[in-house]
Amino acid sequence: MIGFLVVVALLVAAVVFVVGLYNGLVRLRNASKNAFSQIDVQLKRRYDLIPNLVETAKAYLKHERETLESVVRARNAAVTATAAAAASPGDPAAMRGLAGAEGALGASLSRLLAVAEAYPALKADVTMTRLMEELSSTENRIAFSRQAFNDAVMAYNTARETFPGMLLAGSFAAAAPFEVTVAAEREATKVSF
Amino acid sequence: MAVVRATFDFFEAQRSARRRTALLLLYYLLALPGVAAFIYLGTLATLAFSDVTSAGQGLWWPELFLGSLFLTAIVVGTGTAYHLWSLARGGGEGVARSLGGEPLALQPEVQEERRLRNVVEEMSIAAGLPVPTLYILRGEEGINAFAAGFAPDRAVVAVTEGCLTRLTRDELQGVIAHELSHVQNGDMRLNLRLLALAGGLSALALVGRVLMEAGSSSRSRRDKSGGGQVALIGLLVLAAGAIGVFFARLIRAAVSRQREYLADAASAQFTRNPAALAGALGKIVAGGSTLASPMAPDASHLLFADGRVRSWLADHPPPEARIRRLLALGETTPLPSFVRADLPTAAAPEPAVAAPPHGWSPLPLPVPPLVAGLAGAAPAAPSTRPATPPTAPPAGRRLTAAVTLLEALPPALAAAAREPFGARALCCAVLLDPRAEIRARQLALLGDGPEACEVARLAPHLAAVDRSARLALLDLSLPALGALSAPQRDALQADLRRLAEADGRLSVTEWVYLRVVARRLARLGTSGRPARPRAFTVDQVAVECRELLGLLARVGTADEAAAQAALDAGVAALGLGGSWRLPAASELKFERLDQVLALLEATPFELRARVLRACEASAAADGVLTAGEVEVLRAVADALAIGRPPPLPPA
Repeated sequence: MIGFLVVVALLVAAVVFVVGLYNGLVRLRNASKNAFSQIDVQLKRRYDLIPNLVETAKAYLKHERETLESVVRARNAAVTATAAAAASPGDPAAMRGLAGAEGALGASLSRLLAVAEAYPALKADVTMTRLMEELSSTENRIAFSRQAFNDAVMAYNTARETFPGMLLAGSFAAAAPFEVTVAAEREATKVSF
Repeated sequence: MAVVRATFDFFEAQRSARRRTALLLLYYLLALPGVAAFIYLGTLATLAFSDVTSAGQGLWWPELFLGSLFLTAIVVGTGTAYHLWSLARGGGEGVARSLGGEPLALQPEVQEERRLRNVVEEMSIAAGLPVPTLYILRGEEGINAFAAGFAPDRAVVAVTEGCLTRLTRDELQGVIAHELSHVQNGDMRLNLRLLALAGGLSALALVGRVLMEAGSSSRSRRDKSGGGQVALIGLLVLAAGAIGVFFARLIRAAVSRQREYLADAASAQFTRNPAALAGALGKIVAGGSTLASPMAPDASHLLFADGRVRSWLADHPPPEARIRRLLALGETTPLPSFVRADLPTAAAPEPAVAAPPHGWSPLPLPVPPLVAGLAGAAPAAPSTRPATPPTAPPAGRRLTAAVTLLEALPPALAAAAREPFGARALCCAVLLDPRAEIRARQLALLGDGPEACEVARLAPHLAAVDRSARLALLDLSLPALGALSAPQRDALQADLRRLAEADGRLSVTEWVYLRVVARRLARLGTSGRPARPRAFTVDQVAVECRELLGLLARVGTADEAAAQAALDAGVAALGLGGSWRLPAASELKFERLDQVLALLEATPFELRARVLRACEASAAADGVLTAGEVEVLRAVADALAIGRPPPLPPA
């Protein structure tokens, strides 16, 4: 009888342990999903700003249609990629797609800004100045929430890969961080003499 | 029904919630032998019909009864312990998730969701509570809502999608006020315990079902009679589980029904608009409040309304009865009324609430009745009814004040407060010094990253915000800080400390800001369960109270005699005799005060409430409530985990 009770107690303890482990992993996964929604808000805000920016720039950059169109194209691609990533945050394929689209958008935007340097009238435009200010402030927000998301993903992945979380790793897919590793983003740090 | 006054003593409401927790435990202990007796009788009957029974045994078979009791205690105890454990880990968020909730974005794009967030922010500031985490139960068309969590600063409020689409703004406000008064009245912990208990008692039914299935499947394979017996015992345990669930319902009904009336009345008092809450209840009568989630029956006592069951087993009073009470309140209240404080009402069910014995009304500030009487500025409160002084402003003004405050905030600040990056910068920006050279040093400390730019961008807007609104602004930005990752939190804490100490000293205001943010950040990862008590009587914390009251006295006035009088008033309210020496300003150290608050936090609720009350008495002793006193009171209430309405600006 005592032996039976001990076995039952051990079984119960094991179940409680596994359930706790499982819930812990779910909590971390949800935390990372929640963190993505913060990026999502800011990305959408940026996508709303870009058409306005293009519209304002159009009046001045009559001979740069190609540049403007590439910005619009990149923006539309990024909107689609964001929707896919928001549906399953942390999914490696979706995150890669988003990172690629964001990288392309960043590159085309910086090309536009480089072109704009040559048009003092555009740089002096009040709407343009305001939009640029908004855009850079939104970029900061995105960078900040991206950091939070990547930290949450790392916490989840670490819990998933270390003991005892690895016991349940089979039912939890690894999450991918959101890293924009495209040349355009790196260029900013280049030092020129 | 006695006509009572809808003026609340939040301390008293919280105390009665705790009394109900004791009642709950008693019922629980009574339910166990009840269930065990059922199993005993059932087994006896089963054995009587089979040939296993040993002849010569009468109706009383002590071993069997002890066995049943043991089995019941093990199963129910394990079930309850498991539920308590999972609730303790998940807290309010765990409950919201298990009911199918998903967190509401900080800056929702949908109009209805934005409205919900605004309503909750207004009500939280009016109630002096941290803005709770919001969840939406998507796909739930019924009108329902609940609040859950272990402490006001870790509260979760969830509403169904039906609430958003079918209620008007006023009705939504009434529902949210109802939920927030559950938070304020200390009902949430009671409700979580009820949840664990109901889960524990229904664990018996679960075990029964498993046994029954095991029995019937083994019967089909081999040994006929053994399997049949297992199935029979399973059926028995299942039936016992049903009895357990019945007891759980009964207990819930006994414990939670009155709390609903209380929360309705508090909601009406917050919004001064009982008709709106009645309207929401009316829509429930018409359209239902049922939740589709399979967890819903276990959690029904958490919910705003329980549209189905209408009997003495229901944990909510029938909506019609609630509407009647609310409308009775509305009839005597010319709406919208911001004129009278003490409307007679039938809506508050507990006379204990109506006549707080401590002469403490929810709105004694800025001119508390006793002081007003002493100063001759207003007629003294009638000694027979100290709770409702004629000078107390009406509660509806709280909400108006909160709305005014929110609307007066510069839009740039309000927008920043609602997203993590801006909220982080806002916390830094409130610490910026008005003196130019120190401010420059502070900005230099932050470096020249994007964070520093944002702080510099927000700083000019903050100049227009006065001191009392800054605390509210900080409150507003706390939910967004929840989105920070652990490294970001640490970086923010380090930044804040550096900013506060940039001028070589820490002012009381800076200390309060640091504490409020640090506490919020520290509690983010936890479920919010209170600390294990380390001190139990007021004598054990007398030294600590002296330092705290000394700080308040020093903050309130520069005059030595007035400060001593404030300290004496606090000591008297604490119930300790004698006159204490006022600590010199140099004796007050913030590190020590942090330790004091940490110790006071780890005390039973009664003691914490007494300390907070003493602090309020001390702050109000000279009849003037300075901005510094308000800030310290806020830090104390925050540390003691007691949600208190903030003092109102003078009318």
